[in-house]
Amino acid sequence: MTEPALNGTAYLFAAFYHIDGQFSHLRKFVHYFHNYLDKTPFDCKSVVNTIGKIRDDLRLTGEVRSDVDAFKYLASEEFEKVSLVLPQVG
Amino acid sequence: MVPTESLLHKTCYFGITELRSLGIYVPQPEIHVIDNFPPPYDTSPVSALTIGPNADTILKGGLYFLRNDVRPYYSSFLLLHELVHYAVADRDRNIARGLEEGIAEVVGSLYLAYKYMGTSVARRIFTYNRLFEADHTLWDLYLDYTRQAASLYLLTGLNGVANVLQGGRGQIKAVEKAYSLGTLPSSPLIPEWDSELTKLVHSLVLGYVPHMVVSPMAKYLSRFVRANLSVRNIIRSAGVEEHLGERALVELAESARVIALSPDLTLVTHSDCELVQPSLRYSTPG
Repeated sequence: MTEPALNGTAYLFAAFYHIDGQFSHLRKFVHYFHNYLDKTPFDCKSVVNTIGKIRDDLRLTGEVRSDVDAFKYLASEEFEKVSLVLPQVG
Repeated sequence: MVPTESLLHKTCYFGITELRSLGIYVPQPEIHVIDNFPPPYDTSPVSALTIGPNADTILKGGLYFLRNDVRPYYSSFLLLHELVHYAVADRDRNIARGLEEGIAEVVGSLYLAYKYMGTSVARRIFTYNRLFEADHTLWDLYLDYTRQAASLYLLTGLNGVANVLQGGRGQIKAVEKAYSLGTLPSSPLIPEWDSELTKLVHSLVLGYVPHMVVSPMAKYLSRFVRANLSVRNIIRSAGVEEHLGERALVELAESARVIALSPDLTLVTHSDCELVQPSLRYSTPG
């Protein structure tokens, strides 16, 4: 058996199994951020750094002006929660 | 918990041992991680599949995992489901479907998974991967047959389900046929239930409401909604644009049915938003 292709996306999936996310579909939620995660290595420190970037980019300034803004607000809460359990995965 | 070859084999050993303790013999399968499933399996949306030990197909017998979908916990969860198929595939080359999928969910994805990785993680994997608003009828069918298997479990116990599995695919199909004719299954054994599995079956398979899903805006706004608050006040408190806020409140009233609005749409007259908040989920855009 050859080794699986592990990356930051796989790491984040595993981390979400430790929190109760409020999104309806984990696969769709994580894949929304795949551009950040696919090239991130499967290790805690790298994923912590990538999630820091994601949270910076999700930060809203001002009113919630669209459904995407509302999603960014909710997603930033999910990433805040999942950040706390990242070391449990590695 | 990196899903290396050794981890998948460890999960497999655990599953085989537990199934054998239920009286279900499972031969040791080979485990393969491959880039793509070859035809005719390539059109399936699944991440893992089982080929029976004596199957006459392009793939030799064993458990197959798609490389890009291999990840900690989830791959173990899938492996424990697939092992149930492997247990009955040995004696019958018929395709795995219907009630067999449901039994693989109840016995593999819930019972074996909670024993292997703990109840909380198993519960979340099941919720995230099975209880979403389906965009593929295959997953709707999985859930339908999981409810059927849950009924079989609640009526006949874990030993009753094991007894059906011991009879192979022929026995599983006989039970499925009984359900399709409106007949409830029975077992010659005195039912024995596993209390943790019973809780999971009730809370996830029977009690969970997968369709309580709204747009992100409606989810966000739902946190500010209280009965007898004006629509204008709610929208102002949430800091959203007025027309978007109004549309989201109508969604909460008409699609999710968790609030009631006054006829002129200016007041929330009733709200269960606080009550349903933990189970009110939001969709992902795009």
